[in-house]
Amino acid sequence: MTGAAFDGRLHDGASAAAHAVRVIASPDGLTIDQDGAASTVPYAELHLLDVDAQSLRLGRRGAPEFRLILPAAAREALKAQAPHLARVGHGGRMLALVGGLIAASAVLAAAVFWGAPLAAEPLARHTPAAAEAAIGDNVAAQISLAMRPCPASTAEPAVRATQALVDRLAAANGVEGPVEVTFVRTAAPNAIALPGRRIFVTAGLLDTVESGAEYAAVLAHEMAHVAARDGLVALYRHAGLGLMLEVITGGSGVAQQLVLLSGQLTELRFTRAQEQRADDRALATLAQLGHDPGALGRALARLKAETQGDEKDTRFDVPEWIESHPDIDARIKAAQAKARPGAAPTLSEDAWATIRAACDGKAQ
Amino acid sequence: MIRETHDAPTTAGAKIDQHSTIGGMLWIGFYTSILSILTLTLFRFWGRTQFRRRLWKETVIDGEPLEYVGKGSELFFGFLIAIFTVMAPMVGALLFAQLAMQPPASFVVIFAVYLMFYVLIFAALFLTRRYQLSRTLWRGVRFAQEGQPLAFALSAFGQALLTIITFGWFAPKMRLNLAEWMWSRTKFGDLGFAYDSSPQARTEKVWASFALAWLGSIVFYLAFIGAVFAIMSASGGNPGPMQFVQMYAAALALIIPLLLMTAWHEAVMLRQITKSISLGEVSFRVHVGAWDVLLLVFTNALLVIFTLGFGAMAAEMRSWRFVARRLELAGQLNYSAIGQAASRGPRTGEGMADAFDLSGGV
Repeated sequence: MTGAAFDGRLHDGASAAAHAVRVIASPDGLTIDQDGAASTVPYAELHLLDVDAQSLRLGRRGAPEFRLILPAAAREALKAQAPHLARVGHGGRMLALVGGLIAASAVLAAAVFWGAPLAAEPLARHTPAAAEAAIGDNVAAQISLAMRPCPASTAEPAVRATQALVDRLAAANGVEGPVEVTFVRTAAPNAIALPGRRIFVTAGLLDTVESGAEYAAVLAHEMAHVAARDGLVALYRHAGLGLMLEVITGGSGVAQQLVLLSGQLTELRFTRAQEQRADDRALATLAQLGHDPGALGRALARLKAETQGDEKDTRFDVPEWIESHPDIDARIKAAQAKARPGAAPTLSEDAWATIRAACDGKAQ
Repeated sequence: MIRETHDAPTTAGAKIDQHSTIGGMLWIGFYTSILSILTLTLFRFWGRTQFRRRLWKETVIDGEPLEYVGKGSELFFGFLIAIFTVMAPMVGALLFAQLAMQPPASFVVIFAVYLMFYVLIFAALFLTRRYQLSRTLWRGVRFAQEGQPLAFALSAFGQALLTIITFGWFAPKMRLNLAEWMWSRTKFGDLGFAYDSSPQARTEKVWASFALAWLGSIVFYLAFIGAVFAIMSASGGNPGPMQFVQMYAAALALIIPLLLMTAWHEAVMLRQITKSISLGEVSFRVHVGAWDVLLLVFTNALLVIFTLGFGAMAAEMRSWRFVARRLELAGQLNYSAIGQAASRGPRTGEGMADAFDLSGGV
């Protein structure tokens, strides 16, 4: 029994020669007759590679370079014998591929947006103190490029005047080792806790708060970040996010990666949960030391007024702990609720005057 | 005035018919862009594969189409391998140096990583070509790229340094050297391509065209700085919108002759490299002039800009089609004497090129 026959062209994969062949659609396969020598290839071994108006290209499993080219008319004849050789379109496979990729990207997105932040805290907890100190040195050096330290002649006495308070706050928060406060000339009111037990206080903050108690309340908030190693957590979170996003989207080269990361180092942002914890901890510390927790509410209110009155919105002009907190009013309220009028002063008038003069009016 | 010296067509050989259409490629570019957004760019590997399949298939040499047999999954796994074995350790080293080390040790590490990065860029270019050739089939026979990626990378890196030291003057020689390195190790099946680098084969005005482009760029910058200075002075150092329009106009007016000079050099290099290549008895010529190159680059830029980027594949197709349609093959191949390539090539492909975001090649 013979089926439909066609003249075709065979590339056997052994050489670049094209062989003229006579192909017969037999019941159990395609019989290929080449110069009088015939062999049958079972339909199951054949697969459709391509089809157009003129021709049909078939490949063979186990022989990746085998190519049998038949006239387009063969398609009709093959429909009955071997429908898989006549079918066009990979719609189903494409749909499965896209569906699978969307699912995979959802998993990746989850890993990026939840996994990286989740990993940041345990990673920070397990970072040795010496490594954190080294990281802190580098971050401080980078930030100092944008936030220049205040003149030593006024900043050093201010650091001495603030040290006793800093030590008390550190002890109350269980921070081991000295905490270093640096006064910087930045005009925007801000205080930043960096990795490696460092706190940066801007000239703008010293101008904005109106008493030693308010200043101490802000320091208590930053000390809570130091105790929780929030600076390191923020660093890991941002670095992890940036890295993973870069990696997934194809990367833009190591150079760009570096630029991206160095940008992030100077832009540490804490999450809402971190800020909330730092507020709670600061209020508890101030109460524990016999100071007025309400001072934090007053400081926040002044920072809010100062920031909202200022239309400038450049990189260091918005204090990060206000920017990430649309619910600043709730924070102010929470602090005011714990106000304790008549509590012991946190700093002497002299000490506060010295601290306030840390930048000698050199805010920038 | 730039005078073109085209080679006259020689004996008739195999014909190349490239019949891709902009519309067809725009469609692939469009759905690849959309699906890439939906899949956090993961679809790009499959989109690129579909683009290549179409482009290869629509390139018919001597009545037989090229066939691209690469798979999206090969590109994807190649990318994953490169990320974990190359990219992650390098970025890790950079992060470590930046965060936990002090100068000068940190500078040494960063410098070493950068050095490695630049060497690896060349290795990635080699690996991309090797992968693409190994996945290109014509008449049932594979193409192949032989040679060691590191050898190519180190040679290319050394020549790139030489180019910097010579203020760019080594660049044409570097291009010819690298083309020779690649093509003399390229095979169709078991038949190797040959590259003639003898002085007799150097018939194009390689150095003259380079000198013109090099001097032209210096004249361009000086003239542009002069124009900006003149416009600023005229405005009394306080430029308004009109002055900025004038500056852009000056840049545009000056850049056209510069681009033409550069296009001439590009056309010369393309002609020189093409005519140096042969495969068995077949020699190649490409009939390309400066205006052709300039027009191609300009229209491709418009195509990409006005389609918001998804026309990039159509633009790549146009570059490919541009060369294919201008390529002339002389002489015949004895197909029966050409056996299959010894190796099926690497299992995965192009990972490093993708990780480094090198969009060179197709």
